Amino acid sequence: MPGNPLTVQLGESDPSRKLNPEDQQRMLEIYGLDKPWPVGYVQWISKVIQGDLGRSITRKQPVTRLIVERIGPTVLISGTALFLTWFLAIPLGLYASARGGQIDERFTGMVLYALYSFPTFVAALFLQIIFAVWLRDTPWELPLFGMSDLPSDAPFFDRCVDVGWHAILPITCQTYVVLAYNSRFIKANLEEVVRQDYIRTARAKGAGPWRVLVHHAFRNTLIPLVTLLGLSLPALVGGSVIIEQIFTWPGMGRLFFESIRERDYPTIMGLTLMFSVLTLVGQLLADILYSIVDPRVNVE
Amino acid sequence: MTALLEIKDLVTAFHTAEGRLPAVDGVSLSIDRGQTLGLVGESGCGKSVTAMSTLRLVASPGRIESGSILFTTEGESIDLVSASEKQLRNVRGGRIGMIFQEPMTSLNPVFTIGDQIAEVVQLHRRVTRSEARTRALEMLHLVRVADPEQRLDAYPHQLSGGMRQRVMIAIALACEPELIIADEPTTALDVTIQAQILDLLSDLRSRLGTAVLLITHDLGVVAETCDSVAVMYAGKIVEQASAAELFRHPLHPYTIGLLQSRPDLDNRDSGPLATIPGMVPPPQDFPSGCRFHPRCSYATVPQCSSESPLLREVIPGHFVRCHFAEEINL
Amino acid sequence: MKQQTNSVTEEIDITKPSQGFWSDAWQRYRRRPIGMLALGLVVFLAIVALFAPAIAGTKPVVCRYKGNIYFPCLGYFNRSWEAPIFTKDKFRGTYPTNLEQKDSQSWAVWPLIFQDPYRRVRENEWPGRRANPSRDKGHPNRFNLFGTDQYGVDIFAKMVHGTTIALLVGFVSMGLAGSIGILVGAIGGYFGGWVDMITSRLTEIVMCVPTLVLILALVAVVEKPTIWKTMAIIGVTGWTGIARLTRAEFLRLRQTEFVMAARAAGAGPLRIMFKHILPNALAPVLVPITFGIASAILVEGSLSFLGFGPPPPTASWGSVLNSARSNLQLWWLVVFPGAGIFLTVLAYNLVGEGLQEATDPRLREAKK
Repeated sequence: MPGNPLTVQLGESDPSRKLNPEDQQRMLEIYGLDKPWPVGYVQWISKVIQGDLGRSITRKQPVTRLIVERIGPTVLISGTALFLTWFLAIPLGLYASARGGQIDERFTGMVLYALYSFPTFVAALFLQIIFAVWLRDTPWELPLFGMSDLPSDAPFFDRCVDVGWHAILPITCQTYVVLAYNSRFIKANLEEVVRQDYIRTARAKGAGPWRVLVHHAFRNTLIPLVTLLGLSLPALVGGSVIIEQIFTWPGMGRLFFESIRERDYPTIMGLTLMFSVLTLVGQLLADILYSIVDPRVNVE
Repeated sequence: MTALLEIKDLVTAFHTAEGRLPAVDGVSLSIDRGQTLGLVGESGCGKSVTAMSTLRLVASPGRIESGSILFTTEGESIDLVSASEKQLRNVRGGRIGMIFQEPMTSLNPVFTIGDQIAEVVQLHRRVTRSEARTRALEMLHLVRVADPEQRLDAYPHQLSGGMRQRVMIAIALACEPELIIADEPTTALDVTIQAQILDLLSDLRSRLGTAVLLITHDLGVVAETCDSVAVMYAGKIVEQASAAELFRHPLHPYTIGLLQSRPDLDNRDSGPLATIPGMVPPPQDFPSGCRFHPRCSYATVPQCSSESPLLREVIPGHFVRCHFAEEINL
Repeated sequence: MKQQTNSVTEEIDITKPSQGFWSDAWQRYRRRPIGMLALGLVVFLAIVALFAPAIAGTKPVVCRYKGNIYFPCLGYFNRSWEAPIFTKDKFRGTYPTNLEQKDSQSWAVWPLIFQDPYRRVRENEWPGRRANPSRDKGHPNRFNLFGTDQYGVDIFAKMVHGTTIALLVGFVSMGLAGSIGILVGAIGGYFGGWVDMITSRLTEIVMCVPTLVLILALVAVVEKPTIWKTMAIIGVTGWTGIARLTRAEFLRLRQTEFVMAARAAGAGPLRIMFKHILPNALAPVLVPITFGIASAILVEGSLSFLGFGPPPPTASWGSVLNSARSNLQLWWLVVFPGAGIFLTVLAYNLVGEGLQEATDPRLREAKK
């Protein structure tokens, strides 16, 4: 394995110092790095099943504790982003579908499309330049880094506001891409649904355009929408790695990034497992919601 | 007495990448109260588009370009072509009910049958939810659906094609409309179910006195159920008369051909089935002059290929679109 | 009633020449102006990528030295393609003055812009021109159209050469991903049964891990990150969507009559899969591949941006953005590469969408 954590650590702290061979061997044994990696992998799996994700080598703490510490900030950003996306995408999609082909819809459509192709890290940099550098010393300034500038014994409300202020930029970056994609998805789906025969039946009954859209069409769009919900979780997680790194936000994404740099394998594996589990949970959730929303599907 | 529905010179065209395709090219029809008019023709002749145009349900890129559709009810006439959205919505489902061809896809899969029938009642009458539901149950009884109480809460995918079509009929009749437009209601169903549905329709008609515009390609159905018949070809009406008259004395070569091509059970050894040579021309390739002339065995050059014949009343009450209608039938 | 024997029956000509599928799709694609614009951009980028050394560089495009013709600019693509004679004669990469001094008969055709993507241009390297400014003084100017980074390396040259890298990343990684995806999907879709189960589970497992996470994990394992290893990693993680689509297409086409005819004629599975089914399944699969190119460029940009890309000095757009992180006051470090990535990704996304609309079988049905 290229550069085990001990050498990396030592290399960073003092390039001239070197562990003598016996000490190195002993430390390798403690962290299980001395065995060939298939054996190590199997050992890791057996420990995981027992709920033990191992110890972080660089931070000298159980991986589980690290994850628990970091999960909150990530959920704050990613969770809010997820909520905002859905909250805003549905009306955007409905509006785009209702006003399809008109000038204002085409313009918004183009803007959304451009947003969708706009890389998050570039947007993050742009936003940082605008809000932290150009608007410095103005009331519009937003903080560049970290989650909070106040010490932990500052009043709770003030700390909340401060965290919120810090969170604005990261949340914006997380939200806009998924928002653009989702609203286009909803619009495309609605357009497809509206072509169906049962929509014609609804209009033949005398239903007005809004009722047709919101009651008949949208209810049918919910089905693929719910699947999309499950699938957007991994994207959110992946995005959080970059965003948290740019804004120095102390979340799981940043932990993942740092542990890769430090070659902290237990943490890397623990986090990868965590992310995969989240993905699976997301898909499971989507499946359950799907069976609720579509009467043609039987709940198992 | 004014007719219940009077379509005058209706033109509905589709504007596609291949140009302007006039699917309905100057069609005039009229239906009286309680009367059943059959609109017959092969696939692609424009009869479905005519039906859709009546309620302005033509799918884009189709558009009603000219003509009028006068619907007279309670002493008032409105022109459905130029009526406002609000007026049109009043008519749709409330005064004119429509039954579509595809029962499998015409019902919304995520709502129950009961909800879908109740919806049309709630759209046109001030009723409570439970009153609407009661009415839905009544309608299910009316259309002879077995186990109506249970079916109320069933979803469309749990019913067969025949039952779904009954539900569609229930929806169409729920608000006691004066006219029902049935667009090939039995084409997508099994033959045995077809008979049942047609029976049901006849029965309902006689009980409720509803007028019916029946779109079909099946001459047998028309003969059994319709008071008057209009034959459509390539976007135009080519013959129109009472059912009895049309079947006894068909005047247009196309109608003659259609009637001759029906298999005759009583005359099995009369040789191969007569057919009309050629195919229905697509709207982008309508022939010049009389649109039927390439397939017509009576067509004579140059008149038939250069002059478009008008719909004329050759015998009182019997209209034909042919230059030589009188000569052919003497 | 007696029928007259026919006098006039026109023959209705129902045959129209049938267009090939691809020319039909191209016709449909052409109708969208924005699709054509995007395609134009894609072609433009390809040209830039191909001719990068001739557009910006400090090595002559072609020169005559001591009686022979050389193409030193090719050294930008590959070190060994720069003729050894220049090392022997101790040029040390500085061509203008050396050429003149060492051979008065020499001539050279220079790139459009005399700048280097890997190093700072020194004082008088090009006779009469000062050295590249750096840091705060490095904003866009006459010699540095897009400015310079904190070390004085010209950004325009980096952008131009970065185009080559970006497109290379896109095509190579998607080539790899496409090959893997098509193979896995085809095998699963065609053979069905337990083979399909295995390939589907495999696809699902790889899909389960968020792509970026997987990529980063792999990057951690790889020793010395080079651009080629990055491409391989992206390729090896990005095939799942393609596999799923290929599988669906193969499942569908397996039932068609022409496949059954081929089997009845005795063709073996490999032949059927690759000669008969694949050409028909290709059209919908090209769509995710196109989107994949956009996504691969994006991923490479992110990786370089995070610092996981190939080590400096590289000319990739992402690495310029990386240096922007610690130099936020140098706005040109963000605007140009940012616009570059954005426009490239946008162009490929638009082309992919246009392709999707042009080849969508359902839309073809709706036209009837």
